Amino acid sequence: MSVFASMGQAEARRRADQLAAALTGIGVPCKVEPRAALAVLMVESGVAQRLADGELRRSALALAREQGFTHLAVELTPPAAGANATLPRP
Amino acid sequence: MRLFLALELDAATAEALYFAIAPLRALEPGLAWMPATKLHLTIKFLGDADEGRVSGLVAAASLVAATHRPFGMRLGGVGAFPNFRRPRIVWLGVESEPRLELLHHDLELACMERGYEVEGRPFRPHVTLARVREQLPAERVRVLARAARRIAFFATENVDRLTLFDGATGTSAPTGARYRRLHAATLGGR
Repeated sequence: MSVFASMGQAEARRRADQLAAALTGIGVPCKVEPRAALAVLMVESGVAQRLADGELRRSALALAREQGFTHLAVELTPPAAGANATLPRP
Repeated sequence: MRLFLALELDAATAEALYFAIAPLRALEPGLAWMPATKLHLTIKFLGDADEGRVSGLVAAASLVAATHRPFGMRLGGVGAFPNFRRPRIVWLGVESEPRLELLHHDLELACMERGYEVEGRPFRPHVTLARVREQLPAERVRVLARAARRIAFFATENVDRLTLFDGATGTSAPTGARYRRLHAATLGGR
């Protein structure tokens, strides 16, 4: 069972804020929105592009796990007109 | 029966993915969004078949699985088939992975030997997130596409089994078919 199943919103928020601070420390400035065991990183497009680097992504995931999250997703902060994340196509 | 061979997602990954696309579900709740429990990657769609064909397919899947080692598959961003101007399927992408291509190739051959047609279209591995049953107005499609491009899901899924499903139709569930796991063949890497 996820650690979040028994966690209140305040605790989830606290862990998300700690994760955001840790990520900023490795050059990934962001806000973090907790959605159960998923940490959603709200980032600008330039930061999202940096996360295409596997090493940086692994570091980010390791920090997320320290806070009890199991997975990471990224959402670009709006509006960033014309911004377009580089996404793999099937 | 309506059969297909697929890679299942780990339950935690499927749940996280479901949460990752929450903004899209909120934008278009009327689409047929797949529940977390049904998220998968179809390797080979086999179509309608009677029960008598199952044992042969189980044998084929097991043989192929035994010759492939488990591997990691990286999941990525959100897109649509055929495109986001006229979306019919909203999907999560899977990064190019030679071991996945080989698994698909070997399964196509094994199924062909059992009388199934080889898929004519290129293999574009994806996880179906939603089906668009009725064409959306252009402005709503644009908003959905914009939201989809702003989302990326980072996960590496460990592929260690190949599952034969019966996606029997005829239920009243919003996502249509109910899936029944008929057999899971473990990748062995002989």
